[in-house]
Amino acid sequence: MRGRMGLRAQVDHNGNGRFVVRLNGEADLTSTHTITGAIQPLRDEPGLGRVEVDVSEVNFLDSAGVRALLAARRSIVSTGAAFVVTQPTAAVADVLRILNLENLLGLDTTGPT
Amino acid sequence: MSTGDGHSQTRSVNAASQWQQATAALMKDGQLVQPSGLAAAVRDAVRPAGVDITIYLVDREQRTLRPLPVANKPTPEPVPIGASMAGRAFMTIAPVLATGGDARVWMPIVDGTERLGVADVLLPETLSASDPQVVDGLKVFTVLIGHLIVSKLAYGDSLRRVRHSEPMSVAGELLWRMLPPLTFATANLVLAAVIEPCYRVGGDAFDYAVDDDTARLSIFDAVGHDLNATITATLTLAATRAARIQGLDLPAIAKAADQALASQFDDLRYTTAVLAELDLGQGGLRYLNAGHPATILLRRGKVVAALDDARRVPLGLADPSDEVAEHSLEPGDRLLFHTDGITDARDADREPFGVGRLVDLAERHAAAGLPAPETLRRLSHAVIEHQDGALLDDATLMIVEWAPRAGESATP
Repeated sequence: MRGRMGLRAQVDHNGNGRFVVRLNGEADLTSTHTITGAIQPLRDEPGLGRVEVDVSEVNFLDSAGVRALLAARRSIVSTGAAFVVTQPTAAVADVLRILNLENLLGLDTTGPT
Repeated sequence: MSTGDGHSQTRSVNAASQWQQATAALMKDGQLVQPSGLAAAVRDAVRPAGVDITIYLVDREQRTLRPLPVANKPTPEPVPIGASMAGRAFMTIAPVLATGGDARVWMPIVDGTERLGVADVLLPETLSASDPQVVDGLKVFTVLIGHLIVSKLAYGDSLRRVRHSEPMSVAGELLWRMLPPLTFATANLVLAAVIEPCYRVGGDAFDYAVDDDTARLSIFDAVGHDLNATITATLTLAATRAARIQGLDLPAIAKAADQALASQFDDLRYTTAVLAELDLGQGGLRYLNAGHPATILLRRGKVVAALDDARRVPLGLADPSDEVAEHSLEPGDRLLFHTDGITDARDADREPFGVGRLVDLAERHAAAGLPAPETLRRLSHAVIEHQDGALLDDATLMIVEWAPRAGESATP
């Protein structure tokens, strides 16, 4: 069953106002609060310049998860900072490709750097 | 009996005038009939000719034909479409004669090309089901029954209730009243759609309008599940329809939906969609795709294109794009619009139904000469059976065929 794994988030500050939110697990309706919980505090970070959501360990993304990513983007972009989703797994990339949300989510499609 | 037989000719003339009288009587009396009185009015109109008619309506899931009750007469049992003479008339959209006699005929009841049910007709000795005049008169009379069913549906619940094998959900009540009929055909176009699970719909919808030389076609899948998704879908439907009726172009119609959704909801809900326009004269297709599965183009039994250009983000998420893609159809081409609930339906081994299976079945049924609405009925049931009888997501399919005389298979 989907959702049993849940979703975990780890936030790293990489200096110069750049934050990386590493997600791990399944992003669906039961786990979107994890994304919101990780993103909201970043809005108050002084000098916030860029938020990268690393989804390389997200193996399932449904429409509720997509909306959580869109909400995260809206929340960060409204502060003037940049927001990108990076390193999607094939499952996540497929969902975002069909929805044509790759550009909006600033998707890094060049793979790991 | 040969048609040159004087006795037979007299009979035919009588048959024609008897049907004319019955048709005139039903037209006159039908005006003041309430929905629950329609079946009796039909019987009253044919009684002078010695004919008896029982009307069956198809249920929402298109599996069973359900009789309209008549006062002081026992109501027959519902009949399964897949295993009955009445069902054969419904599936083939053609009259079916009882075996070993010419006293009984099942006539499909359609409104235009929308399949409503079947009339079970018992004829007196003076009228033979093998007499073309008798069947022709009955066809005209049955057209009137179809028109009356649709016009009376608006005024009461009894006809609607007959079509329900289980209670209609709030979501279903909201959506079904918004959708156009499942089938439409003109001289060079046949369009048929199906939506499941029909009593517990979610965020799927379809829409079309055919005016002059243009068919405007759309399919929608609103995010989320249950009533919440249906509310999003119906708002999308209303917004795109209002913009279309104003005569706006495809990108402007999409933007109208963006505005309507953003004006009512602050939670980034969206609807994926394909919006298309087909030129019925030349076969030119114009479309845009808002984050939706590609429309499949079938030509002579093969997939020749997945129409996947002019992509923008889903409706509800503003997109500045004004891009419209174009593709030329050839006569006989068929377009398959679908939502991911069709292709993603999974069996016990988690094997998805898939585009391949969808195309194979569509082709096999079309090659067997089945009318488009019957092809869709069988396809949707195949998807449900693949998922062991219960869909987890809603699934919608719309087939559009552009061909000279395409519409002929869709009427009795």
